[in-house]
Amino acid sequence: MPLKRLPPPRLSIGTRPAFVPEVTDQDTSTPHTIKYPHWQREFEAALREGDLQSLRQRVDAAEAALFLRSQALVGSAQGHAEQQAISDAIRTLRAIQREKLGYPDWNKR
Amino acid sequence: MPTKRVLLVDDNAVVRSFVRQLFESQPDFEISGEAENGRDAVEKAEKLKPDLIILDFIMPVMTGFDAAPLLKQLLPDTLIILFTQQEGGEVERLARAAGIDAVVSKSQAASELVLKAQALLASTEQEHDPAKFRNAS
Repeated sequence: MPLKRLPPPRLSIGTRPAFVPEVTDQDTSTPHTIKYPHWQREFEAALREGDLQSLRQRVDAAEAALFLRSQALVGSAQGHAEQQAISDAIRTLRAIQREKLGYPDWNKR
Repeated sequence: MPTKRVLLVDDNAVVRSFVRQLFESQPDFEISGEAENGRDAVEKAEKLKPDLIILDFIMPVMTGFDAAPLLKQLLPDTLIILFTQQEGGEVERLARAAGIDAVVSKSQAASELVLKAQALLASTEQEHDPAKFRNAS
């Protein structure tokens, strides 16, 4: 008996493949490893925040956590990768402050 | 050295609290006030007339770079240290152009900030009173 060819899966932009769990507004937590427990949750909460009223507080909390952690890492020989991650996170927060919170853009000088 | 009055300027309350504790642990400093942005800093500096201003760079309303020339115009003898997450030659160059006396990175130990403040204030006193410097040396 000849093999019956299956039609290709009908996927278009916006289609959620079956193996990807549905993400809703209520389910914003993604089960992934927290690599930097001192600040990663605060940082990700700032990234996820959609409400402008709360965004400033989230960014402040993330910035504070990053600052305190970088103080704890001063002089640590093993903190290089985390310091780099902190620098990247700070750059992202700066962009949020500039683009969403209306902070002055110091690059425009 | 008589007690030096410090104005802390940072939009983040946790950072201000951390820096406040650092300076308050030193007998030669007192915190005379806090400000949340550059404009607030200019208003408070005019009233409080601090000896030293610890100035954040990126803040809402007015950045540290925009506030620094106004602060220097108001209080030419007040020293300004930029305490910032931003690093690099461009920041140093802009800081100098804005009249800022020193830059300390927030990724360095914050204790560096106090050491820098003490060194700057001591060197300024020597400039203003060379006789005192000669006697001391």
